[in-house]
Amino acid sequence: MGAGTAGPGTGGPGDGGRRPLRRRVLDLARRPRAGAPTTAPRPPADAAVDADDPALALLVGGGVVAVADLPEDSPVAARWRADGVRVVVGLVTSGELVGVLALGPRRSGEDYSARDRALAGELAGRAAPAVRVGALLAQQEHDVRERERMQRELEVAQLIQQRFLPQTLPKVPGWTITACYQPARMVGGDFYDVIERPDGLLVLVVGDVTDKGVPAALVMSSTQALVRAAVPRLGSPSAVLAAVNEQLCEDIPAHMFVTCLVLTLDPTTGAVVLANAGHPLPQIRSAEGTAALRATGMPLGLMPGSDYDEVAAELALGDVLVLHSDGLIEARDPTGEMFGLPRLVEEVAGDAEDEDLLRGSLRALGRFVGYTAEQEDDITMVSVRRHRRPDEVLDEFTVCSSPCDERGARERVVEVAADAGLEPRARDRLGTAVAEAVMNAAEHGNASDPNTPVGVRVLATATGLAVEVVDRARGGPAPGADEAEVPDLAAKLEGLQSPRGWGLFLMRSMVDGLTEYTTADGHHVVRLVSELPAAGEVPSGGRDDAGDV
Amino acid sequence: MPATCDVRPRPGPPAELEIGGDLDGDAASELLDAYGAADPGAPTVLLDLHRVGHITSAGLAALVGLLRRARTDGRTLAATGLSPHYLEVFALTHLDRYIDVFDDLDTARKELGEVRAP
Repeated sequence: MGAGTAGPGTGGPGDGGRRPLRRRVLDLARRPRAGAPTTAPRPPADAAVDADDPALALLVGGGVVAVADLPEDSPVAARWRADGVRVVVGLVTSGELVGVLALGPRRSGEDYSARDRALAGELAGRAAPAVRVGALLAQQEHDVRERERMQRELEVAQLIQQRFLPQTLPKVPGWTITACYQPARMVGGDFYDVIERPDGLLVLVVGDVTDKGVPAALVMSSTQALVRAAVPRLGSPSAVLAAVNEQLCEDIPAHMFVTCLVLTLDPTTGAVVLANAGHPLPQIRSAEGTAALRATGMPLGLMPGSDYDEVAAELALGDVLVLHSDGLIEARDPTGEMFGLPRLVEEVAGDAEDEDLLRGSLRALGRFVGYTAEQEDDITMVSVRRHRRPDEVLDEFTVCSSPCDERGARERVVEVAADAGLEPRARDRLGTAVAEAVMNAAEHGNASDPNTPVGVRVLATATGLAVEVVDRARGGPAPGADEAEVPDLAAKLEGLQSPRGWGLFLMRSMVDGLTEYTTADGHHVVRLVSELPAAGEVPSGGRDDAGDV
Repeated sequence: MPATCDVRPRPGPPAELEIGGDLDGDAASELLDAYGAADPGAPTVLLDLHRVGHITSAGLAALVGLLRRARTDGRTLAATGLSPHYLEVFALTHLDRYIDVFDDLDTARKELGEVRAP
């Protein structure tokens, strides 16, 4: 700062002639004065200051301090000295030190004068509040971005998790399978799965990942995918767990593990085979009472090479099997007492029909902990009930595929349904569904072959009526079998959809349940179910309209 | 069993089609033929379905085809004589949004007969 006065010939080599004053000033500025630093000062890098740095005490009062006057043992002072900082001024606002103005040597090499110091102090005084506000704003922006980022992560994790949990549960004749799932937070570590194998075996899985929130959900989804991949390849539950364990041991974060239970069920015999990796034991309620199915093993992801015991059991007519996670058992009431296994057993042993069994348990849990208590852990339950009596065949007949008398088939079924106590509107609906199913079976399943008739069976189930329509699966899936296209009348009128395609829609709308499967010997079966309302219930009305999203 | 359609003659609107038997895929051409023969001046064609037994999905498709034809002609369709079951089917398929459904023939005639062709 400032170059001082200059006369001709002063400080310049070989200046025999006169030079313009301006040039001289510039020359003087470039040519360092004696005592001035020989290298151009570079701005010091931002220094992070420890909270217990002794220099801070001297800076917090504001005012200009020479670095030379700072304590020897101050790390930041040492840095400043190394960087050539001569003078520092604390930026103080509302009694808080929010920054430091560090000044290097003056270009002239002179010390900072009193006026210079006053100027620096004033600059610091004005800068301090601005720096403070800037820092606050930056922090706020950072916090908002963090929250948004976490929110997005949670949403993604929730989508992932929901995608992997079963969207629907299979309807298996003679059995009722229900499940309930309540994560503690938006995203949980519990999972369950129900897998139908092509050979007819059902595989049930429940699991629980240590931890909660996004990391648990991701491990949960991986584990579920691994189980799903292992099930078709490997026959037995213990082999499935062993294979999944090997993979998880490699991939899972160090502090996490997964408890998991895999169970196969043969719906034709009720035979159950179970293997367990540290998960709470399933309960079976039978005529003799309630008992646990005891199989043990290490949780997944802890030890490679783990072995899993298998246990076999049989579900007789009327038996109920309940799988659950810790969240139910370990939930605490306001006094700290756990819900516990005995209470669950009591609920399972109650007489309720299946849906009520799970809801009843949840209600009991709610009453126990107090409804306003925050749910601590994920709650998952899956129940499997074998109906008390198998389906009873009420009528069985065949229908020629071409010409196809679907009218006759419809009227015969309606008559049987009337005898069975189905009320008139439900009979009409069932009749319409049967007519459509028979026409489909004749045209597509049997390719309108007059020598291959359609089979029709009317059955009494534990909860209502079922009609099974059977063809020889010649023609591949019927058009419209792909559920993606819902018939949309507006689109049809605009010519955007074929005017046809109502058949499957009518079938689904007219009955309480529709399933189809193919038997090992190549028979394609469509099973239409019409539930008989329980005593005192009003029969339900129709179903969702076409074209409504 | 194919549907039998005949046009019940009546001066002035509405033109009527009385349909008997089962409405299935075979009904499509009969419906369109009878529709074509109905009074071209009538803005609305009334379908009297009280003698219809069953309507299959193919029969619904035939009705949709008829509806499209009527819209092309700038005419509307109405219907009466539906059983409660087929009222439900009309509602489920949204056919009742495009076909005016009347409780009975007299009401239909009264309502539609008052509309004069332009």
